[in-house]
Amino acid sequence: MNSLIKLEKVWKIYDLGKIKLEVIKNVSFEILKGDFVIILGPSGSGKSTLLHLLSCLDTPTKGKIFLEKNDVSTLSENELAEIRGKKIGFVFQQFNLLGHLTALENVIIPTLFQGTPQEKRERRAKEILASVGLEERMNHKPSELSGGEKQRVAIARALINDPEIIVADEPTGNVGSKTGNHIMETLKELNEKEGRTIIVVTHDRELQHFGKKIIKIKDGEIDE
Amino acid sequence: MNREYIKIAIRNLKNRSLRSSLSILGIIIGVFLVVSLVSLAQGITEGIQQQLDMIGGDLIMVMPGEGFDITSIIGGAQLKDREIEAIARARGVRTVLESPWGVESVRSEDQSKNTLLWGIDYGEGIPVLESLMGLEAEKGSLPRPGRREVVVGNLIPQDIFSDLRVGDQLTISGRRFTVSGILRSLGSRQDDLSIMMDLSDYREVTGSREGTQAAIVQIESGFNVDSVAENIRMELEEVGRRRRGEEEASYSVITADAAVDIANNIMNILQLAVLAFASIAVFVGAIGIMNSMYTAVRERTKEIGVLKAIGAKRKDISTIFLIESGIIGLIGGIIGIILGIAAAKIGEYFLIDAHPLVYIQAHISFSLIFFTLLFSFLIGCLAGFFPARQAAKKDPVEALMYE
Repeated sequence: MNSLIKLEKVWKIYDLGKIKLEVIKNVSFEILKGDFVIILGPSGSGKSTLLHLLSCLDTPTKGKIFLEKNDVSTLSENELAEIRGKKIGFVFQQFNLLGHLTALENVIIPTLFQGTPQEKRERRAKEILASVGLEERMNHKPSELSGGEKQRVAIARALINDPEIIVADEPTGNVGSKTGNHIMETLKELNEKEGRTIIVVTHDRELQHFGKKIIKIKDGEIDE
Repeated sequence: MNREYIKIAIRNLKNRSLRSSLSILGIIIGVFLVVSLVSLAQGITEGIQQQLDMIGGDLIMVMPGEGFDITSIIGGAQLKDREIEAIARARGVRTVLESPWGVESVRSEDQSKNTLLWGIDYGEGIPVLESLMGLEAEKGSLPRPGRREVVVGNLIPQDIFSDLRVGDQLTISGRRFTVSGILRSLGSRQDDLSIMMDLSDYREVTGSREGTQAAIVQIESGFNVDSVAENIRMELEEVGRRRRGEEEASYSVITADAAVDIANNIMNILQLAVLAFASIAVFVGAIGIMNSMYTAVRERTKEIGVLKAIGAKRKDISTIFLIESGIIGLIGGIIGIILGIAAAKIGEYFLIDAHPLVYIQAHISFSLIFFTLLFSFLIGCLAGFFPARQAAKKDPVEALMYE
């Protein structure tokens, strides 16, 4: 078994003074290399928090998270940033592209933090944009792109550092169902052809069939 | 340093162009004041220094007014005959030369221009000036008394009466004078732009019977400069005491060494005052940058979250913001320097017209420009430091969820 991410009795508790808000309660599971995981849950179920923990954006209050057998639950912010930059690609519901930069520049950004050489950065960004069908739209700003195109730019940005894991937070939430399906197909392709591990968080049950593994979450707990 | 960071920073600044321009304007005003005022102040002090450098080691200058203040030079304070006599009485004084100056309209052929005239008694004065101040004719010869001859500073043929030659005639207050020679540079621009004439001729053309803004004293050999200066001071005080009831006059009795000290003092005070004043303006500009950067950090919270999610470390985030504020400082600095130089040049032009005696040449040194530029960039970075740190410290999850 090729364990990639493993959660052991993970808790995330927010201390709001008088109240302690338990968002994730004693969650344990494992994600294998090459998995396509759908984390399904209604809004407020804690699925986004779970995604933040899985993707090294946040650390648990209690419990341990292992990434390739390394405990990442106690790493510093900068160490986590290093891991995110190298191993994890993010796709957000709101696309979160930088509005004043072109599609190409947006895709290049993650390479800046990795010290990739200039020529390589641009060549690779162009290749990836072409592979998601945007070679004609590279020099357009996000405001000139459709929702589907923006999400494809975001996917290209997630891929630029060649990460092992792609995490997508409601990737179909802001596009129509046809485009949504297309995005999911793209992710599926990345999983099947390139062997990348995909983790998608969604409330949309329709997307279940894309996943090899479904984790249902409700009130911060795994809903078996 | 990543070229891309600079590109991103410039895009961000363009994105909020109004606020960026306003922050830049704040720095422009500060830098503008630093460059224009400091270069003019340096110019003024250099002009004074040049004047004082001319005083030879065994010469003493006597002027009305205390502490060699610039107002009494520009203003009309003068030493009268009884004061000149008092100076002559002092022990160790060999010669007292009245050295008045004034501006008169001077005509050469069909050109008429306001020019600085300098009166000196040819008979007594020329030998003294020759030996102690290196007075020398570059062309022609030094003038002789009683022949209505004048000598002109070496910049007169260049800047005032073009192609003026030895032997030409100048008309001053209806009287004609012959140019006997053109002087070798005396080291100060305003002296080189003046016409030297015999004291009696000077009195005649200006209509002033007595009075001089300065007296040049040559000491007897074997006397110590400082003790003679002290003797002169005492004699002048005596004159002051006898004129009881009048406002007490004060005098500056300056030896060459003292003159240099005074000039240095003036230079330091003037520049410090100017620098302090201009620094306040730069400081206000820096607050403007800081304000703009804090707003930018708050507005871009979500963007910071995204950048952190895709691998930006604290250092990366702070670098992006620091470059932005540094660019604001730098652009403000560049524009401020250009405007400052322009203003100094314009100021120079008007100040020359305002008073031909005080020749002010703005001194724009490479180091002034270099340090101002460096300073404005650093001010920008410094003003951006706290906002950038705030941005870098943002929690990635909170920043990402920020709406």
